Parts: sequence; C-alpha cells; structure tokens
Amino acid sequence: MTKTTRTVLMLLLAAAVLTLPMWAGTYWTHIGVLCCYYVIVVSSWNLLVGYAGQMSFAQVSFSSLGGYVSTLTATRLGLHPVIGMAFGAIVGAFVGYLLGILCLRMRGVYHSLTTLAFAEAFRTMLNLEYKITRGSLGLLGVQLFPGTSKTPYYYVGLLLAVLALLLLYRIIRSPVGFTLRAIREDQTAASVAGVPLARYKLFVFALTAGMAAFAGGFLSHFLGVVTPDWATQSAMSFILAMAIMGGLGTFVGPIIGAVGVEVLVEYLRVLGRYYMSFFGLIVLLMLRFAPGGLLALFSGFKLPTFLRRRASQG
Amino acid sequence: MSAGLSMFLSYLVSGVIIGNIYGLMALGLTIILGVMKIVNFAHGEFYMLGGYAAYVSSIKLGIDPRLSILVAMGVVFIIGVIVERGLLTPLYAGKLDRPGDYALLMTFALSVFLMNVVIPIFGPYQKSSAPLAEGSVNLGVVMVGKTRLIASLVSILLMAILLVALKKTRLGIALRAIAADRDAAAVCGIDVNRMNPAAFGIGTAMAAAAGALLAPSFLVYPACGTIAASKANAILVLGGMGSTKGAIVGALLLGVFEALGVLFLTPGYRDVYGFLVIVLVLLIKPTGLFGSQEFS
Repeated sequence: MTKTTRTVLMLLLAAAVLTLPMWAGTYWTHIGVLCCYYVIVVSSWNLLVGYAGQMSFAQVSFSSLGGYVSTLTATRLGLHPVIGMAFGAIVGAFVGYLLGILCLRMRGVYHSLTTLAFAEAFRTMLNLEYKITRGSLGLLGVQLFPGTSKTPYYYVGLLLAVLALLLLYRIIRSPVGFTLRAIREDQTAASVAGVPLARYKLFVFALTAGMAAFAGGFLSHFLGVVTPDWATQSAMSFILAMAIMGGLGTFVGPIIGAVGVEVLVEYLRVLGRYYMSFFGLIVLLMLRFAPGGLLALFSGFKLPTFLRRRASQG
Repeated sequence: MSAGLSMFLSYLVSGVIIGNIYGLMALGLTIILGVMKIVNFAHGEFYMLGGYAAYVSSIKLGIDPRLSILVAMGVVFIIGVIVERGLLTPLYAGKLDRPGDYALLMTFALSVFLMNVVIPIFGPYQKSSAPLAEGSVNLGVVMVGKTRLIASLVSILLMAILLVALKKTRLGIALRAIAADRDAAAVCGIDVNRMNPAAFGIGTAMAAAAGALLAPSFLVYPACGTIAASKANAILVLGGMGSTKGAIVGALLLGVFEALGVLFLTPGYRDVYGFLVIVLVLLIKPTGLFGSQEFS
C-alpha cells in the first residue's frame, strides 16, 4: 500500500465515522455508541494488561461501578449526569487504586485470582444490595439528552473515545509508557533499574479503572439503565475477546477489535440462543490459533509484543 | 446444652460436611496447578458439567444415583483430556512469550464458553439430580440429610484414594515428580507431555465429582460453577498453592468459616466470604497455610 492510498483510505474512514448517523440509521447509530463505550473500556484494559502486564478480570466491575455511581448521583442527588459521570470516574479510580494496593503484594496467578475474586464479590454485592441497586432488576437512570435521537450520544461518545485514545497514546509514547512495558517484561529488572514499581502500578490501576468507570457512567446515561449483567464474567469475556482479536499490547488492535467484535456480535444475534456459545467458540479458536490477534495473522505489520510467537524458535 | 451452643455446633457440623466437598474441588485444582503450573479458571464449569452429567444419568437415563457420580467423573475426565489436547498444548510448545497469561485467558474464555454452551442444551433453569438417599440422620446436635452426609463421605473416600494414588502408584509418583521439577522429571525418562492430559483429566474429574455430589442438594444451572470455583480458588490461596494438605485443610476451614459467617454475619454474603479469605490470607501470610511449590 502506498502512502497516498493509505492516506485516502484513512480520510474515507474518518469521513464515514464522522457522518455515520446520517447514513446508517438509528439501529447502527446505537451500535456506534456502544462501540465508543467498548473502545474506551478495551483500550484502557489494554494499557493495564497489554502494556503494563498486570492481568485483571475486574475491568467490567469498574465500568458498572461507574454506571451505578453516576446513575445514583443523578437520581438521588439530582445532579446533572455529567457531574455524575465525573464523580463515577473518581470513585472508580479510587476503588481501582485500592484494588491495586491489594494486588501490589501479589504476582502472577495470585494477582489474577484476586482481581477475579474481586469481580465476583462486586457482582454479588450489586445483586444483594437491592435497596440501593434494585438487585438484578437494574437501576433506572437519567438520559443525558432529551428526546429519543441517538445522534447526540454518538458524537459525545465519539469525542470521549477520541479523547481517551489520545490520552492513552500520549502515555504509551511517553517515558511512563516505556516504564510500564519494562515492568511487564521483567519487573525485578525494572525495580533494580530504579523504577518505583508501586507508584507506576497504582497509577495504571487507578487510571484504567477511572476510564472504565467514566465510560460506564456515559453508557448508563445513554441506555438509561444499569444492571448487574454489566459486571458478569460473560461481559468481561467481551472485553477480553475484543482486545485479543485486535491484538493485545498494540495501540490500534483493541480499537479495531472493539468495533469488529461489537459488529460481529450484532450479526451473530440471528443465531438466537446459540449466539453466545458460538461467540465463545470463536474466542477459543482465536486464542488457540492466533494468540497475537487478527492483525498479526493477516498482515504481519506491527507485531504485537504480547503473547507473540518467538521468531527465533519459530 | 444451651440453644446458642447447639446452634453453633450445628452450623459447625454442616460447615465440615460441605467443606469436604469443597476439598474435592480444591484438590482437583491443586493437581492441575502442581503438574501444569496453571490455575484452571474453568474449574467451576467442569463442576457444572459434572452436575449436569449426574442429572442426565440419574434422571433421564435412570441410572442409580450413586453410580451416576462415577458416570459424571468418567464423562468429564474425557472432556478434560480433550480440552487439554485441543487447547492447552501450546503451553508446552515453548513458542509463547507468556504462557502463564495464555493459560489464564484460555481457561477464562473456556469457562465462559462452557457456561453458555449448556444453555441451549439444558435451558437456563435449575435442575436437580436424583437424591443419593432418602431421609436424614441425627448427628446429636444437628439433623443432616442422608444425601448430604453420603456426599461428604464419598468425597472423603475419593480424596483418600487420590492421595494414596499420588503416593503409591507409578502414575502418582510421576505426577509428583513433574510437580517438583518438570525438567528433571523429563531427564529421568518420564514422558512429561503425556502427563498433562492425565493431570487435567483427573483434576477436572474431581471437580465433576464435587458437582455430581452437590447436584441433588444445590441445584444445577449454567452459572452454578462460578460460586464453586471462587471457593476453590479461595481454598487454594488459603491452603497454599500446590499443597494437597493445604487444599483439604483449607476447604474444611472455608466450610466452617462460611457456616459461622452465615450465623454471625449475613447469610446473603455467604459466597463473598471466600474473597475475604483471599484478601486476609494474602495480606497476613501470602504463602498460605502450607505454602510450597510441589505436592507434599
């Protein structure tokens, strides 16, 4: 691909994304908003897992936490949803920070187990504290915009996603990003080289949790409801599938993965009750045969550094 | 005896009874961890499959409910071996940068897949397999359903068989050797790659046994393994990763801890106490009670 064709293609893509509500209809605009949500959640999870190497199964706990906090702030205190979203992000970042503190002492499997146990405990709590959360019924919330048009949500979502990606890009390209990768590759070596491990890990935990919570808050004011289903392992498997299909540890991969999987799932819905098992099967086959993601499978440009097959050993 | 004390004792006894079955689950997880050096995040789903296998065998096919436990173990053993051969072999091919993370992601994805694949087959509703026995037994302080008592005794028997097999049989010694040092075991002529399916099959069959034993009293439904798995994980941390003794002692402790938590705190949070255990143990004694790297 020459540079010109690439530029033209990128411009066409940007134009298509920017004008989507004008030609795609309500249904696909709705999907577009969901895509924006997933891009934020998956890309921030990618910073935590793909770049910093801190495996976590709690990302959807933070996005649902953001949804609940934001909705409660708007309904109980009567504040504007935007304040709710900001407050949700702060609470999310704080809880992420606390989980990070807990995980500091742990490595490898213990670390993953703790995040998984936290996610399960959190989901149980959402179900049980029905006086606050209305249990499995879910909590009805406040819409961000009056009226039924999805177009304003799409543009706000797009703006939020772009801002989130810019932030992540800056971090990844900065010395902080390099340090995070050093921690992923060998945290003992990084520590010996003078990296304050705790500070970096807590930073990335709090940041990614806060971003997920912010996205969750936005989604709750778009859908007008937040339920414990957001925090299930099935929901987490979506995040995981998106990141892996795109290529964990790459910047572009999870974005493509988020959009691709969300659209794929819409088509899979014709399978009715078989669709989740079919989706699960795709994820399993993906992991088994292309653990580096679809990008690595087809083009070979930008080899993902995560889960990559070692070239020397073939 | 005061009413309070007898209530305390009755909760204690039921905690021990359920703890034995947790032990079976945790022991399976420990064997997989010891030999393959992975935590099987889909362990709860093999428990669930065991429950469904017992349901099909005892209700649909009319096989004796006690025999159905063996059927469940056999069926899930085969599924376990197929899963290991099909999905987990890249772990040992030496081509992955981070085999540990691959195993976590793979077994997590497997758990979600299995949870969803049973929905179209059995439906989302709760099923119960045939009871192992009718009536209940008076243990002095508490009346225990015979089904639950038999389940507890069977799980003690299965754990005993497994521990003896690990100590005495050729296969058991080979598995322990691999758990202690994979490379050294290979040098000594043990075919280490053939032991992975064996370990995974045995470990998942243990989970299936636990699922089949609890299927008559705790119902079977697609997500029923999640809770069981989080308990097994808590036991693993509590007892010390890779220690068979730790798995059994940890399971009994968790069973009792939960029963007392239900008595003194709130019953609704019964299934969250496992998380509390994980957090407390990791903060106070990160190696667990009997922490070691190999079977002991």
